[in-house]
Amino acid sequence: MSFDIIPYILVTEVFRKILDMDENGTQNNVHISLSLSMDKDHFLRRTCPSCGQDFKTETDEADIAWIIAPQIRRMGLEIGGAETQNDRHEDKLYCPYCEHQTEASNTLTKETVNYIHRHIMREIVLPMTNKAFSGFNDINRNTGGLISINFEYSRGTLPSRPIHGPEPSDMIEVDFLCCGQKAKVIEGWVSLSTCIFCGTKVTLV
Amino acid sequence: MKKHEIVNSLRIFKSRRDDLLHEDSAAFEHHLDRFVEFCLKDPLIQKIMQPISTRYEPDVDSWMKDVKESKNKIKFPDDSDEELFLRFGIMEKAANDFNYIFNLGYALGGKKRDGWIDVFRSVIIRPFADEISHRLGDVADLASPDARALQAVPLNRIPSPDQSKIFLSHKSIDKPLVYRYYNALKEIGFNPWLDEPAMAAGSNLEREILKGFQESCAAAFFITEDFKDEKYLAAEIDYAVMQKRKKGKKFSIITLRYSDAAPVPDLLTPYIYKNISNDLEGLYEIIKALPIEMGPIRWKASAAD
Repeated sequence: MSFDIIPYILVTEVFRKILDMDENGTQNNVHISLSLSMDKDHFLRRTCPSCGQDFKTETDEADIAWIIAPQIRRMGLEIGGAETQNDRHEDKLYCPYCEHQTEASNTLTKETVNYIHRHIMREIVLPMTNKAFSGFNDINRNTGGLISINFEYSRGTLPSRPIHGPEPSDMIEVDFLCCGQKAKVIEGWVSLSTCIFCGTKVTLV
Repeated sequence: MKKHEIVNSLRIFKSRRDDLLHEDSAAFEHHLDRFVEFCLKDPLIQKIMQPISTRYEPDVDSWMKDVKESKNKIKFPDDSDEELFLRFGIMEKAANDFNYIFNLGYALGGKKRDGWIDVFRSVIIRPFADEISHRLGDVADLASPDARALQAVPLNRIPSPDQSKIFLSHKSIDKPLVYRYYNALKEIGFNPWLDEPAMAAGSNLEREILKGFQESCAAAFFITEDFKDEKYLAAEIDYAVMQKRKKGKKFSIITLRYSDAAPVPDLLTPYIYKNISNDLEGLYEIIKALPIEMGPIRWKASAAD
């Protein structure tokens, strides 16, 4: 049996194990190391899922784990993993243009989401798959019966490590005096009337 | 390049780069063509590549020959610019002659087409993409010196014009002194209230003073040697105390006592007063004590483009 493409069900199973528990039933801790590209002023680009317009929020490097965690959990759900029990209350953001309110993780750009998915696939899912099938070639043997099955598993080269960014430092910075946080909106947008972070009614000066 | 052109250029670059690195191998040739073509035409990337091209000429055939002769060992120049340029040269060559990828893959011991493409991606394209991405981040610095942050002020922090005046209470004899404050505060952008410019001829003085207090967020009392707690001044002190009780934190009573001045009236002593020796100190104390503040720095209309 040769796998040029990893079967969907296999990824599901492997990922479930990563997120949940291993074959011995013990909790697995997976350490992920990835970095998101921010602009020179440390703002992370986001996209409103409702109107499709981009804006940015000031982001500390320490926040990145919290930013990507829901995406990773969601990735697990999408391909069959169990939702973790200790979901942290996730911050919500208001779109500066259409005021649509949604979880912060819903506003990650397509580029960022793709980057996270590719990173997880390359660094976690594929190595686990390779590990899971590494013993297959050893089980080929003729048992002396009428039917013999031969397994052949070839491990391919890992896909290229994804790259995030570069992120241009465009847009205009806005200081929200209501909650002390900072964001960036497209230049010339003067109709901002709701704080992106706390929803307070504001006016630009 | 204009800002939007730079942003657009980076957006396309990232899209082409990710297609080339991650899309299905079956479409690799197409994505390689598109990426190389983009790099050759894009002004932002050429801003990086052009200066290097004047110093180096990549000899990709010799490089391939070295790979074959050195038994699958890949070597690149020590100089990072030269390495970047050589990698791009190899990609350009491969885009024009796809066999180049197979030759490289074969030289490195690959057995299958997909394997050769994976090797080419890992060994040639990915390091190039990583380096050029970093350099693009540097050349695409969009920060302009005139870009300034805007402030998003909560609506409950914006007083209406009839809430934000600054009542300047004084003895008539001190009018020249108080006018200096009036002019300075007005120039800064505040809205000071002074009887003379605020009242039309024939208006009722008592009522206008009361209205002035009602529309103010602060009352400044100038205690000079001529100050006496009597008549209109006494009424103004009463009005100020009344407004303070009514408006709380949104009303300040600011008492400025000049050197050798009369004592501070009893009704004002519960509020903080400052002894000052000159107008500049007085202006500083007023601005510091006000419950309102001015907005971000901006060009005056006369100086704006």
